[in-house]
Amino acid sequence: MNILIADDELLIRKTLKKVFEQKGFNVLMCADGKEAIDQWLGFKPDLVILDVIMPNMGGVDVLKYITKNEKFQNSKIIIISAYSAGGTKEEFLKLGATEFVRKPFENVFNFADHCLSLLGTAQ
Amino acid sequence: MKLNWISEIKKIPDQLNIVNLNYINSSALQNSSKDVSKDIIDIFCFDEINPLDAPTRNFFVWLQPTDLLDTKIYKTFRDSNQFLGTLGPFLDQEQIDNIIESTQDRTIKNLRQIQIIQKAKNQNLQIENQVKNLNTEVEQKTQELFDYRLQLESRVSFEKDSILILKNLLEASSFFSFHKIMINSFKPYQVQNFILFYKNPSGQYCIQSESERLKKYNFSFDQMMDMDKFNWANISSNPVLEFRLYSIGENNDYYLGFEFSTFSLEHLNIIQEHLNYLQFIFKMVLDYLYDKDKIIKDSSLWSSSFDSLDDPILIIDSFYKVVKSNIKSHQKGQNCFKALFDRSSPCDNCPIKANLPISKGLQRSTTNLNDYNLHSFPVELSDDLDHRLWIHHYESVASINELKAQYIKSEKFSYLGQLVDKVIHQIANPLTGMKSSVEFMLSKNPKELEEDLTEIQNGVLRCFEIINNLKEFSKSEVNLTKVELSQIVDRTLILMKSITRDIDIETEDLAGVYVHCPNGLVQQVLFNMIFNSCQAMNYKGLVKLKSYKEDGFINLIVSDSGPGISPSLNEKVFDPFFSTKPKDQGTGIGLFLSRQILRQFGGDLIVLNNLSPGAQLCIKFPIRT
Repeated sequence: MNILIADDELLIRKTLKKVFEQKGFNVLMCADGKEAIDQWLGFKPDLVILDVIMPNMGGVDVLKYITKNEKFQNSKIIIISAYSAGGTKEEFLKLGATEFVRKPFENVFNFADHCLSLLGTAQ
Repeated sequence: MKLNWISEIKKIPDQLNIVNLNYINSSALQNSSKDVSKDIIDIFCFDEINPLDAPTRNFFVWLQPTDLLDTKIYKTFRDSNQFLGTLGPFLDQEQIDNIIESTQDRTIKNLRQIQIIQKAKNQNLQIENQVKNLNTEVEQKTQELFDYRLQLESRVSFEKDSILILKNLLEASSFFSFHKIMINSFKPYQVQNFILFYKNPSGQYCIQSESERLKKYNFSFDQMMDMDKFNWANISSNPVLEFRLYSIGENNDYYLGFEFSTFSLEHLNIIQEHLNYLQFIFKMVLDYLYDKDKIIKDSSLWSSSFDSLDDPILIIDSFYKVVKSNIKSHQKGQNCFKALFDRSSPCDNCPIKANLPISKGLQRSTTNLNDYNLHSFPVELSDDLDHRLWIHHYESVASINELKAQYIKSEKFSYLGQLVDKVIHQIANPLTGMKSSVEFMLSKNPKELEEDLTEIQNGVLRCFEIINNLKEFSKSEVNLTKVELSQIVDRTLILMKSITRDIDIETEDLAGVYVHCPNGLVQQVLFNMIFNSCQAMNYKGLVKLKSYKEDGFINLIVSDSGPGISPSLNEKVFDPFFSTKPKDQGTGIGLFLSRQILRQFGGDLIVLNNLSPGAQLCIKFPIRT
């Protein structure tokens, strides 16, 4: 299964990549929203993790783009954000997100398990 | 001869009634064969006078036999004035006519006289009546005049009193002296105490009274109007028999109260009358006193404001003499250049030097003078240029620069405040990466590095804690949450580690005590107070935090071992921009804001000075039921 991670913080995406790869997933990292959109169609991720505030294009715009795209096939989208979130959980869910998680994660492994449980229910 | 005198008699006009013919029976006479020609026939008359009618004349004829002529009774008749004449044989027709005629004349004459007398009598009666009426009238008038005089006298004495009161009143120079004057003026009417109620220019209700107790009593006009005399006696502590209150002015601006020890309706009426009569004057005098108070208050306000300004302000005449100034060292009549700059001649740029005629209104000018910006305002008193005054405001350039620096600093702070949110985000992101990364590394069980990694992890966690607190601290909305006091204190102290390095902090009874408050804001308050304590103790000493319940509040006491707060400043410290610190160390709004924050949710901040040698402040949290 494919996971696309878009976060401008290198250490976050690298760590998440390692954690998810350890669990046997195929992970693609993007440093901003634009890159995520460019990669999304070809990569066909089952799970997209989007940071809200990123250079070039924010996570919310990516979310809107993906969910409105005709080729969108119900992949799970998780929004993550530090303090000033740029929106509330309700707003993100309305736009088609599956879950919203605040940074810092309580524990990176817990976060990963939570993501997988969301995927599991979808399967 | 056959006497035909009967027929003769009948010639006598009708009004001369013959009512009696003494001795004579006419028929007998006519039929008498007796020769009576020699007998005397006398005619007498008697006027019957009836005051209302015309007099009636009665005649009678006396037939006197000749041989009886010498009788006494006949002689008496003959001598009386009723005797008109004698008819007889020796009287011819002519004589009779004469008699009748003369009788008629006399009768008419008599009648006239009688009429005149009658008239006179009537007139007399009339006059008598008139005189009587006149007498009554004179009596009445005299009484009226007397009454009027009494009235006038009492009126004059009243007016005299009123004028005296008026004259005294006009000498009143203050509400106090007004009161004294009223006391003296109304003493004659058994007024034992006079009370003046008024509002002073500050809007406070005031009382002037002889009773010291009353003076201390604090009540409004409304309350006073409801007061009956028993209540009044209680308050004034005098035995009051009667108390009367009069209002002065259309809007009841003043009240005059009169206490009587003895009751007299007459005195009351006089007082009432004086008040009615002088109502306008009272109002005028009291208004004048009020205005005077106000002017004194205002002018003292002006002069104290003027004096309290840091910048020198001088009022100078055209000859450089200082008329008024707010610099303490200035002596009257000194020159401005001497007083301010210790110069012996006018300053080079001085606008007074030019003393130009002002053609188009008064022009203010700003000149650079020594270390000051001089704002000069000429005041025209007359056309004469020599009679011009100058208001000179010397603004210190140094203080302007200082102000500018402070302004920039406060701008910087406000900008920083706005930045905090963004900064927090920027820091939180890499920290999240570090945290996650360390967690991942630790999951690999790196035996040699585990200790170091754990330390890094703790450091990261501490960073998050600081960020969390900073975040709370910068929140400004009032959301009440239930928090433990110890948590508020701990979170605040985390932010103050560097400041409180040399401060001992003791806490007592904080754990397990919960309050409802805007958590972040209260941390801000506590931060502020502990920071103040630290500054006051020069960052060395003891800060004690302690809580207890009291009267529906949970009190959090913050005390220190510093120099404390002077009791006279207990309230003043909460004034905005009040500060005892040097200008660069405090803005003077910390405690003001703190109090506002606490009051917003029903709490408060007060100074408790009495129990501690240092400063002791109390944060009050309302207990929610």
